[in-house]
Amino acid sequence: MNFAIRLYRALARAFPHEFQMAYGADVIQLGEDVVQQIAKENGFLGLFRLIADLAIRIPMEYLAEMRQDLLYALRTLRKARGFAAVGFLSLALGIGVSAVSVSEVVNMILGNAPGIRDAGRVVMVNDVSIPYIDRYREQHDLFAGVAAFQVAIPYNISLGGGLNAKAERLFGQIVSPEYFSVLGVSAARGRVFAPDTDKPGAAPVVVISDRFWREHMNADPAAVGQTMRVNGQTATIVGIGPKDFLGALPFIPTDIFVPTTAPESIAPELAGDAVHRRDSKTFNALLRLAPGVTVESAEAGLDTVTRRLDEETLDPARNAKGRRVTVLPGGKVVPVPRSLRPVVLGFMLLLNSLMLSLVCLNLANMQLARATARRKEVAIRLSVGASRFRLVRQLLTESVLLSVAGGAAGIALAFWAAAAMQKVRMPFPYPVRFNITPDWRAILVVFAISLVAGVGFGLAPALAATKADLAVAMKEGLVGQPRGYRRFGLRNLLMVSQVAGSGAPADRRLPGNRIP
Amino acid sequence: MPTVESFLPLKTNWFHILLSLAAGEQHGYGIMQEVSERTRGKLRLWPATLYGTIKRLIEAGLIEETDERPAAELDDARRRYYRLTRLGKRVLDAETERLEELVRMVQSRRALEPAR
Repeated sequence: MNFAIRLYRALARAFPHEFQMAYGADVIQLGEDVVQQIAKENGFLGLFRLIADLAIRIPMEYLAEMRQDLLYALRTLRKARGFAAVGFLSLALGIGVSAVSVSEVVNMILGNAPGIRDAGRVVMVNDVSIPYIDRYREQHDLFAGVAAFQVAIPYNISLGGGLNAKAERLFGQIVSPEYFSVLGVSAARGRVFAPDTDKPGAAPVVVISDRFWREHMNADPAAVGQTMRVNGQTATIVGIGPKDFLGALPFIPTDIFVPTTAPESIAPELAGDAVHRRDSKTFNALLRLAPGVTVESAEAGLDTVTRRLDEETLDPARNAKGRRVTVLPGGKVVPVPRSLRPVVLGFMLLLNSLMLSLVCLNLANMQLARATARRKEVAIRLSVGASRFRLVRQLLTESVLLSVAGGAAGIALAFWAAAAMQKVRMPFPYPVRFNITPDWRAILVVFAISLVAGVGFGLAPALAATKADLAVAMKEGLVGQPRGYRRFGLRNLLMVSQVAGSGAPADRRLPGNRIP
Repeated sequence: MPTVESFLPLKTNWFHILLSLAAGEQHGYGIMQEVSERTRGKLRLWPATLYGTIKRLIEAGLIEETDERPAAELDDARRRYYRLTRLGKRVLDAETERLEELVRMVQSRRALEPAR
């Protein structure tokens, strides 16, 4: 029973400060008074209930205090509308913009291109000729399939086949017949290209994207088999791609797929026998790795094959030192080399961290200014018995409330900004599509950062404010500086960091800000 | 100022504490004992629950701490005494009336039921 009393006393001291001040002694005394009787009447179970009662009530009292803090914080923020509005807006903007830009980078670099089967197993090599690609295809131990393609090819398209039909400039790809099988894409309607069916000299054919079919043909069920004019020549639509599929590298969306077997009149890029010339390095190779083959071994294998071909053709590149071939991810939205991924991601994270830290510095500075102005209120509360811990928690509740509200608004802003940016036309000669659906992982990280920052940057001002000398603070009221401030105090430091941080992204001398 | 109705129906613990104070001021230990005796041990207000509830009753303005002590031979100098406020009395009355009304309803219904 002695153990039960000792445990009871120890637990009773864990009540929140205010409850303890008011009822702590009573709770302990009552427990001591009844413990004998309870042990006699109810035995061990009774003692257990006595302790359990405390263990349940303690968190409830803390929750009640938190609720009070929250209501108080809401009231004070409502009174200080200007402060709340500036804090809320800067947090919402900081979090919203960071979430969008981090999401964009994450989606573009790490996100798989839609519609491609097992996209992680598809790789690509830039600037090669079709004879080289044909040789790559022979490496059956390395690759399950190899295709050639060119992106961002402009076409003048007119539907209806008539000479007078209005032409529209659209972008597409020139693809070798193996292209769709390498990507693991089959047609939603009709067929896709295949080496057996699409041979040189056959009548011109095209495959169109689902997007083109819906936006330009009103999802006509009889579209397959119809003709259209491509660069003035008649071609038959033989198939429609699956929904969401916009080709490999969908940051430049593809609406029309023209085979490499097409005549030059449809695809001028194929002029001069480009398909057979070893020096016509205008194609990209799209390769699906054979089961068990790693990207590294594929790269090494391709390097050997390419060097051999360079020797055979006396290609000037044969004398170049270092690796001849760089394998890029072929199933991603943007093909960023794997070695560059950490750099790109790191740079974006750094930039956004800088922006978020500016927001936090701004908030901390504002809170410090406000804490100075609230010294009288703090001093009065301290003098009537509020504990410093409780007051710090109260001030922290305000900054956390602001962080959570700002964070929530920031997430809403992120979704709005993402939708708005989809409609922005970029200054490129071909349409670029940013896949910026806000990424929940990015949002979670950014939100967590803002919350941690809310606590972290709320803490210093709260500690500074509650350190004030009571008598001096109450006499001085709102005038004067709290003890502990020097001429170059925390506030000055925050201000200097903020100005320095704001200037950095605009500094043209910094890498990344150079304008060519 | 909260209305009497806003407290109804009263939580069981609240009702029993108010009822214990209806006869006059009482300390925590006294309330605990009285509730236990009145309910024949069915309801026990454990210390932390008792003072947690007292705190909330004071915040709600239904009871208050009092300096008035009972007769010297009954006074326990170590303890704090509590009593009902005017609002507390009205709330207790209203709750009692509500319960009486409920009992009346049940009884009249039983009277209507055919004997089995």
